[in-house]
Amino acid sequence: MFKKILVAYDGSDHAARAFEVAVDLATKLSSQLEIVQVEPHPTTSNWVTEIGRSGNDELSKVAAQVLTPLWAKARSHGVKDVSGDVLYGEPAHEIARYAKDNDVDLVVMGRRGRGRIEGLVLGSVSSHLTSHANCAVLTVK
Amino acid sequence: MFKKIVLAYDGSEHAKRAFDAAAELATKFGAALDIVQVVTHQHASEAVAAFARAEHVENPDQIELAKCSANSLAPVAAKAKARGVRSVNIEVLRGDAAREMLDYARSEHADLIVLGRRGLSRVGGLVLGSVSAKIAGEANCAVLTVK
Repeated sequence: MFKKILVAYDGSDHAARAFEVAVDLATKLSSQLEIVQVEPHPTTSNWVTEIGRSGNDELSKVAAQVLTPLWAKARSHGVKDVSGDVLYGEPAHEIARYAKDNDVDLVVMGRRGRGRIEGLVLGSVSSHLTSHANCAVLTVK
Repeated sequence: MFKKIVLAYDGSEHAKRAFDAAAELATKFGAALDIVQVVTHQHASEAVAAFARAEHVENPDQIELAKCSANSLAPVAAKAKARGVRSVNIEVLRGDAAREMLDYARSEHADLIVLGRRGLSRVGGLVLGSVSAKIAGEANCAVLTVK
């Protein structure tokens, strides 16, 4: 049923639990697993130029620090097909777009992330994805 | 990981797709599945009237709401069992949809709630039904919304 699962990771406790759930699902359902980390960026032109210069270095740094261990962990749990990427931009938008472009049929994410807006029971990214993703969304507490 | 799955079912197309996901997960995880329908007061009289018509009952007032709703859930439960879900339970609740679902899931120690992104509500333009949104935000456990 869920052949391609995407887990959105941002370093939060919620995301760590979401990762555990996604790996468990992927092994039980024999699904492919995509792990993405979204790096948000302010939309100033200065910053965009900056990224143009050192973009690749930043990307590979984040990938090495965060994604590579996650990929390894997923594989050690028995997930055969593991992939993913570092995404730049507005998290909800980037995750939804990546999911659509890669034929993901289930997005798994923490109910909340690193955001500092207290009082939100459902983080803005989770809320947006639950409404707008092209596929099923699983929010993990 | 998932031992007790609660499916919020309202007969809509979204709910049917949610059922597919819930049944699949229940079989793969060996979980118990509770199929729950919340009947709001608005829909209660419609459901009773429909049941009365179908069963040629003279006096609809005497029909227990629970019975006619259970009639619509029984085939769904049978389908779940046929797919290999080891334990299937149906429950009809009355009241505010989100509140009843949240309380039920909590008291039953559910570790996953499955529901359609939208339901039977006629409020057009909502991409995420109000009930689904509330449940996704306040549940004590993981929530799967199915498109």
